[in-house]
Amino acid sequence: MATLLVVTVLLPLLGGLALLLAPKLDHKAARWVALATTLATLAFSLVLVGAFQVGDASAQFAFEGADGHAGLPWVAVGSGPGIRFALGLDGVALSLFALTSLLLVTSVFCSWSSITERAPTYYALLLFLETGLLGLFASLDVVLFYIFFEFTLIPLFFLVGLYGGPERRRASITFFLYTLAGSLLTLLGVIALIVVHYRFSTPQVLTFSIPELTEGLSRITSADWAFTRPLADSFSLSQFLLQPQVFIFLLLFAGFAIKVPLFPFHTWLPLAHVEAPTAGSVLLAGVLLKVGGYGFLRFNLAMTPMGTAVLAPMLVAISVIGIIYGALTALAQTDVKRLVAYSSVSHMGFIALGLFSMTLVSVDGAVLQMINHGLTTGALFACVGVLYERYHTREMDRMGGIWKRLPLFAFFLILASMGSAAVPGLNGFVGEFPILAGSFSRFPRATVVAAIGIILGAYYLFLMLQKVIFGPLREPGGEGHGHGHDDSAGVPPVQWYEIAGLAPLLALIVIIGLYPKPFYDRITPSVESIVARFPAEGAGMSTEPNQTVSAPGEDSPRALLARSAQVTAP
Amino acid sequence: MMDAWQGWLYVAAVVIPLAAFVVQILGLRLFRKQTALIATGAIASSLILSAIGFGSYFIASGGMPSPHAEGHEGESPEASPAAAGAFSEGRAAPLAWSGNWTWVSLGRGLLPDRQPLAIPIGIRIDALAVLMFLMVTFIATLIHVYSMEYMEGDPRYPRFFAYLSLFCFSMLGLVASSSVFLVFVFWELVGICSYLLIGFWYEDRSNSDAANKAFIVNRIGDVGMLVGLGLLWTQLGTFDIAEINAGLSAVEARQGDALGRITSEDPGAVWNVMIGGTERSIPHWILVLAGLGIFAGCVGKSAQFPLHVWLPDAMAGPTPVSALIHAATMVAAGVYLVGRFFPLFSAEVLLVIAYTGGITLFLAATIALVQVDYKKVLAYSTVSQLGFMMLALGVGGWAAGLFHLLTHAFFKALLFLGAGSVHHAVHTYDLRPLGGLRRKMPVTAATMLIGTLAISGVPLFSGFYSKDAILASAIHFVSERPGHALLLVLPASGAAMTAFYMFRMWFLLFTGSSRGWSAAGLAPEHGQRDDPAALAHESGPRITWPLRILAVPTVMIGWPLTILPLAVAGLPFHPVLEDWLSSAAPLPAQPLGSAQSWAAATSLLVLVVGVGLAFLAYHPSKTIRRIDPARMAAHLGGLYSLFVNSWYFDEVYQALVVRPCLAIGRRAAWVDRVVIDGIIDGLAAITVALSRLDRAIDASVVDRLVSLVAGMIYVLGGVGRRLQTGRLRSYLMVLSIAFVLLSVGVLVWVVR
Repeated sequence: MATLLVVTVLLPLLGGLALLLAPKLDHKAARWVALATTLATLAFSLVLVGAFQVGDASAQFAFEGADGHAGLPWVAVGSGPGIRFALGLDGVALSLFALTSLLLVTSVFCSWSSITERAPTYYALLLFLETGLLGLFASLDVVLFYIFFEFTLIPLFFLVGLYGGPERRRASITFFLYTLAGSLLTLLGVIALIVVHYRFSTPQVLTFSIPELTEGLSRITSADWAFTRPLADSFSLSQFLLQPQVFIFLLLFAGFAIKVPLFPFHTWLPLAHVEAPTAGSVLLAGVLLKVGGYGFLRFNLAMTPMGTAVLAPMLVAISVIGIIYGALTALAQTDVKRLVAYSSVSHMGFIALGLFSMTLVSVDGAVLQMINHGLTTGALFACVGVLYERYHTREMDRMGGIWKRLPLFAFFLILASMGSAAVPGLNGFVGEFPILAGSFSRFPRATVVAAIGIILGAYYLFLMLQKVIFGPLREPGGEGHGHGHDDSAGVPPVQWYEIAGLAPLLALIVIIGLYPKPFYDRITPSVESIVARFPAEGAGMSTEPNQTVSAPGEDSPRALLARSAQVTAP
Repeated sequence: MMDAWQGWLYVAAVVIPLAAFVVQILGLRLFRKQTALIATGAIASSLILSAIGFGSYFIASGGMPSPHAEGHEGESPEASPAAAGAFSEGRAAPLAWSGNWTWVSLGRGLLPDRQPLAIPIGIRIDALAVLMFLMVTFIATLIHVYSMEYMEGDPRYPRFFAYLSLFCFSMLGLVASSSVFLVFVFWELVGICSYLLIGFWYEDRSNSDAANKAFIVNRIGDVGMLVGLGLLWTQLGTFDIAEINAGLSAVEARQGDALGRITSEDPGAVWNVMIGGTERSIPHWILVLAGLGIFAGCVGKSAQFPLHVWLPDAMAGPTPVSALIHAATMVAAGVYLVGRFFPLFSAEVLLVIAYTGGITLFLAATIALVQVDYKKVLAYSTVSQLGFMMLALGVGGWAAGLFHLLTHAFFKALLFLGAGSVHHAVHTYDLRPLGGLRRKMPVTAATMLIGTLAISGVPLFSGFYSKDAILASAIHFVSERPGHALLLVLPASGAAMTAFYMFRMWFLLFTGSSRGWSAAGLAPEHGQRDDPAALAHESGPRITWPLRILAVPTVMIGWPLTILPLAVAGLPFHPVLEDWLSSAAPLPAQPLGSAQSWAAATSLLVLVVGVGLAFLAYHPSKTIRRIDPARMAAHLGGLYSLFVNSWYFDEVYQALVVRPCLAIGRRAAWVDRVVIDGIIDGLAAITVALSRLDRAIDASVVDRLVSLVAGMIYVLGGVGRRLQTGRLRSYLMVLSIAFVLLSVGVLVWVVR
């Protein structure tokens, strides 16, 4: 199985190289090659999903090296295990891994007819991106993770910059520089983590392995590292910020917050989404944003839990602002793609709220919500692509009553929107509900404000449905002639490849909504192992002292963290 | 796991419509007309299963329960709180079938003693649910039959029946749910069905506006409900309604209160609640908040003030939908949930519920007085009747409120279907040009008259008994808490108005002769001829038979066992259904004492006033008609325009909520584009400017330096060139000198 994991990660890379090296492929041949590669990758990752041991929290499918460490030695550093080519999947990574391989198939179908120029390069870039993303989720080594993390930028830069809309250059450069700037700070943070671990662990080991770092850092008892004081107890802001866990948290945070994106760092997103080709938007929203959430979970929450805990009130505030702000901004959009892009800001705010509330339930919900958001937003962007291909505009004010013309498309769009608006019975709800329930026990007021985002979420999505799907038929370009009568020439019905791209996403939207248990069963143990390292409330930190107090006599971090906080009278 | 076979019966009754929906939606093209048969067959089988379940429940629970409220009659007021406290031991728990399965469980294994979040899906069928099942499936089946004729010829006929099946599944699921979480799930699902059916004729912009409005207004209430759910889960660790009810019923705070409510002077008081064997505690103020939150959801769904604005607009949907969803079943779900979750609500919340109901019923009744659209009259009347139910629950008349829910479902469904039948014949909803339809549509006129008599509260018709029960509860409450006399004034005046506007509508529709558009001073709608009733004729059998069948329960379901309209004091006056309900009440009912006779007197009085005024104003005979409605309207003056404009709720909400929200959205988009992106762009521009500066420095300073060095090297090169003499001898000389120097150097280094 370990070999299969490596093969799955590298297969798209090989496919992409083959596309680049093969002489003179036209777009028809190229898309079949790309489809075959992504389908094979999907098949392999489904085999991995099948082979995954439910209930085991640790990373699975990892190579056991000769020296007892995971993976193959790659670069020897000092006397320790060094930088290693170590791949493995735990429950969280597995879900995102499978999501990536599924969305890649959808992206190929999204590009099926729209990409005709320079198609082999285009598909090669898509496949390179897939390797980058799969490798990123499967990495068990910090350096390997970072390499894949940065590698994803390159194909995406070219995808947006070469195949995007009219403002593609500005979009790609903004996106590239912005995320690069953030991730360099993240790199600093990661190095700092390695150094801290090396300096304080006994015995001293220089390790780059993510599980070992996580474990080792949580064992460090040195007061400098383990004791972190909340802002309210600090003498000054600088004293607060210069605490190691806080400082490293912020360094790590910089890159991931831009990726997610959290509220003030989100402006690259609408631009990049709107300018990217459909497949680019699907992958950006579907997977790339999840890299930020995944990074938060893997590094911020798991390695600097104290820092997260003292910063949690501020982070929750930012998330809630993002939820409301994104939703309000989405409400004002007339471009469908922009609307969906801003809805991502709002929805990713929910995910961040779940993560930074630091309860098992909310983090669990946030992880599932990452999958859900990938599916629903991926489907929404694919739907927008279907629309754009036919009408070459995304202005909602210029269309209406599309149900009449494309009934199947209308069905898809309604289902995806309802999934996104967290209608029970569909996937958004089963993710959002635990997020709200979990964060409610920790930050009741913030959660109530976040819940208003649900109203707004329904508002902009249903407004969008009303404008696009309902009402009398109005088609852009056809307004001048033939008002009112059916004139279906020029607007082809939904094609087989569009159905093939959307159907699996919609099926999953329904399946997760109806029966989320198998998904949660795979995610929960891994989330538990991270949540178990969270600090006990009151021990060196406190959140909202008037709202939450810990019960006496329970001082083990595990017991305290999973327990819902007792709310007492003011 | 399921504890009785009847549970599976009900699971089947819930799931069959879902299966029908799936079959229909997948075979939309394939089946076309047959979808109606599939849908009707499905709901009819659910009806049969519900009937079997009802019979089985009747037998299993030992037949008709003894009148519960009468049993407490003799006890002194001091004794009744003790009875309330002894609820869990003394009173045999009412029969209920339940079953639970794990759906999601988060955090297994981390804490063996306490599951952080386990969400079961489960059903719980108690006496109330048994009755609700029977009511919903019965009405739904008739409406399916009715729709076959009503919707005939519609291009989306198959889709309509598919949606109806989905709705039936969601509604039955809502009734059967054992946990408030699951209630919430179905709550949203019925909302979606309602959304799809209101916007069924989506080509018309106003219809999809109405659909959006319904969904979003409901969502506002749902957020409150989510907050309530969060509070309950945080405090009590469960969503199970029966567990929470059992725990809260036994709270000691009930004993200090004459009405058996949870009251506390100190908001910080903490109640200890036994939930499924473990003791949890909940502070009083959180209990209040949780109750308000759950109630907020019910306010949205049951169209109570201030969220009632969506229901009148929801009449944009096809009339069978209005009858089923927006009159009989879905809108009653809020009342149902308040009833189901009754012990959760503390004294403060119950008071809020009572006043919300009171205000709603009054507001809506005033608006219904002046509507010229007969479907809107019925819509506002529905809002008003839902207010009656809420008020009843709020004042502690648990059985009364739910009794009215059941009776209202039948007569309001009948009235809506009758209105649909009229529309089918005349193609307008406007009252003004119509009239005299009694001769052309005798069945519709007769059945609607029965419905009108029932809703107005004429003795012998079901509505009389349920309204009477509500007034009795209100009188009892007001006699205990005289400060809240308004809670009696509002329903009494509301009942009078109900009788007035219903008879007004019936008179205008069916008596006299057709007035025609021009006589009413209007332009005909959609190019109709002047007299819309000219070609009217009675509808076909698939419309009239459901009307006839519905007329039977409309009359009968309120009857007491002794069929005694001549309710003399001392004789058992209670309707069968009310007794059945109160035996299943989650809290023991309060003895009403003399309130009953007062209530009967009051309801007769208001009936006479309301019907009398309607006769005086609208009766066709000139000898009876003494009041000119136009002059009455003129007397009302400003009030009249207030009523006609529905108290300006839509305008106020538009100005205070919708427009600001959109404006803020636009402002946020502007901020995003200009400010936030501006900052980022600014940073980028600063970077670019810095690099320009750098380039300038580079060109002026660094480059000069480099050029200088280059120049110097060039000069040196020139010097060097002179050394390149080309003469071998000079080269050898230099070479040998170098060699000597090098050797000396090496020597020095080695020796040292």
